[in-house]
Amino acid sequence: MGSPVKKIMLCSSEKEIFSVEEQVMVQHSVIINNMIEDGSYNHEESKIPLDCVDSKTLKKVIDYCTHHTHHHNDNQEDLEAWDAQFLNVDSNGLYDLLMAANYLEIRNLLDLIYGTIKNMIKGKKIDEIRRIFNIKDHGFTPEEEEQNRKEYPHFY
Amino acid sequence: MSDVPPVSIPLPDLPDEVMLDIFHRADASTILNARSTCRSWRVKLSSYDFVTTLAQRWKHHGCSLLMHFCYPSSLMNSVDWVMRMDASSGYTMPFHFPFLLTYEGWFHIIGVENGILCKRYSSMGKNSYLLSWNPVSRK
Repeated sequence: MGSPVKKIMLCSSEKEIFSVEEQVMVQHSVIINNMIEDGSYNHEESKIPLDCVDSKTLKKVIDYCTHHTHHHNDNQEDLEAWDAQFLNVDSNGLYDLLMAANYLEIRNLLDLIYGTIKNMIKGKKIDEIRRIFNIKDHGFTPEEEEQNRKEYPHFY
Repeated sequence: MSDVPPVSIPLPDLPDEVMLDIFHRADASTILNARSTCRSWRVKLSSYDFVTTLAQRWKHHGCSLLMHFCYPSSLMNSVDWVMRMDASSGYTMPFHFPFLLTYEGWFHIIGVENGILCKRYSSMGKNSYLLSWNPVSRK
C-alpha cells in the first residue's frame, strides 16, 4: 500500500515543532501512547504541547526513542555504548533529561538516568553526595551531625 | 553502565518522587549513606512507604530485610527497635538479638555475607564486641 509513516507533532517550550514517527513515541512514552489510544490526539491538526521541555532536551529525547526503536535488535554492547555516549552531558543536561523522561513517562530512559545517578553517588562520601545533589542545608543539629559521624565514620 | 559522567555542576533540586525512585534502585549501603546526607532525606528514606516499596523490589532476590527503626526520626532521644521483614511476603517480625540491648546499648551492622551478620555491639557502657551471627540458626 505504501502508506506514509504516521507522524505526530511535538511542541517544545520554545514553541518549536518537532515531527516524529508516531510509532517511535507510542512505543516509549506512556503519556503519548495514552493520548493516541484514547483519541485525544487528532492527526490533522493537533500538536502535543510539552511546555516543560525545552527544544534541546526534546531533541535528545526524540533521538533516544528513535534510536531505541530502530536499533533494538542491536547487540547489548552496542546499545550500552550508545547510551553511555548519549548520557555524556553535564548535570544540568542530565536533570533536564530526567525531568522530560519523568514527564513523558519514558520508562527505559528513566531507568538509564537513575542508573547513572545511582552510580554517581555509589560509594561516595557524604560531602560529595551533598555537593552532587546541591544540598546546602542538611538540617541536622550539630549534635546529630556529630552522632552521624560517630555512627558511620566511613561515610565521612 | 560502567562509566560515570564527571559531575561538575550540582544537580538542581529533584522532586521527591524522582529522588525516591533513584533510591528504590540503590543498594543498601548507598541508602544508609544518603540517610545521613540531610534531615529531609533521613525522614523520607526511613518512611514505612519507602521501606515497603524497597521490600517489593527486593523480593525477587528472596532476601529479608533487617530494619532499624528510629522513632521519632531524630538521632537524639528517640526509641530504636529492630524488625525483620520477609521481603517476599512483607510480613514483619520482631528480631531477637543474641545479646541484651539496654537503654545505653547500641549495635552496628558491619557487613552481611551469605546471611551471616557481622556486628559490633555494646550492651552497656563503653566496651564493644565483635560478633558474627547467623540470624536463622541464632548462633
